[in-house]
Amino acid sequence: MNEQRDEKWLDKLIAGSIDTSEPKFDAEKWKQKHPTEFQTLVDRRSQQTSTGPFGLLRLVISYRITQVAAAAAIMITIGLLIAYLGPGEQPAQTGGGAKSPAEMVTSASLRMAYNRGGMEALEKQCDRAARILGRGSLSMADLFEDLNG
Amino acid sequence: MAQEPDSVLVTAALNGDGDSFTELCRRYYPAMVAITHSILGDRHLAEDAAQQAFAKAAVKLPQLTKKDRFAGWVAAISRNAARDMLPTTPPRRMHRIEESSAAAAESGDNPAAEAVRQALGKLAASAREVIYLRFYDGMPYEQIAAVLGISEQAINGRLRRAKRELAEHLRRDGFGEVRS
Repeated sequence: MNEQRDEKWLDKLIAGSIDTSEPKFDAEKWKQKHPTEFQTLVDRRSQQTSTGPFGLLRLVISYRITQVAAAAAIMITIGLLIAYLGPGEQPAQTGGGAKSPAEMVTSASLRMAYNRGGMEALEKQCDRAARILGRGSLSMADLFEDLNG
Repeated sequence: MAQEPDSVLVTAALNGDGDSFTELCRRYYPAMVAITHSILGDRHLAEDAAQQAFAKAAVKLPQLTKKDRFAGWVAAISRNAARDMLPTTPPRRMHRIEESSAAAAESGDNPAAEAVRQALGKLAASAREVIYLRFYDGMPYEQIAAVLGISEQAINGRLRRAKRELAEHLRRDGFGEVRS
């Protein structure tokens, strides 16, 4: 009880000793007094709205990591373009068979023909080589005979 | 806008919305003036310091990481702004001198008021701060808690201790008998 009375007495004393009326914030006066700071705050709006291609470009230029990422992306894009659209030589197609009779009977060409269609494909390739050379047909036996003398 | 939580207003202010920022200023101006008043001991200087603090906050706002802690953050800026206004004189001494001269003009030559001001000057800064916050137009505990970043219970405890200490100073100065 005594403590409560003491507190009331003290509260009254404090309230009567310092100017504690609620201060009012005058926004317009504040803006006039601190124009630079307020402008800095408001300018962020224009920075936020310019997020088009130029805003993105500004962002890329601003940070080292985005610079590196952009450089890497450009290099990869150029590499892919060269790979797909460039005039580079395509590797020789072996699936369609050799062009000349000499190529047709090389061991590599014969092995590929064998892999492709077994003995039948091998015979066909030999026949094609023989037809080009003007012989009626060429069996594997003839070929081995020629090779072995 | 007056009902919006701080974090919403801070986000809008970060996007350049000046009105949201001035709403935050309006909301916490009395608290900031109370804090700076507790340091400077002069109401007019206190208002200047609080306004400067808001100007600094407008510039530094992107540095505020927790948007719902605006009040505590701007309170720290306000304390620094007020201390910057006391370049040479130690805060406590400055408080006593300025408070006594300014308030003497306010309330005439009331010896009770003068004694309270002297006793307030003897309190620790945090104790004095909580008294000013509470007595600025009866600021609610909720707002004081937001500004100081502590619970309402802790505010209550701190306020009780501050008042007890203040009463002791008053009695020690021989003021206890005057009241009866």
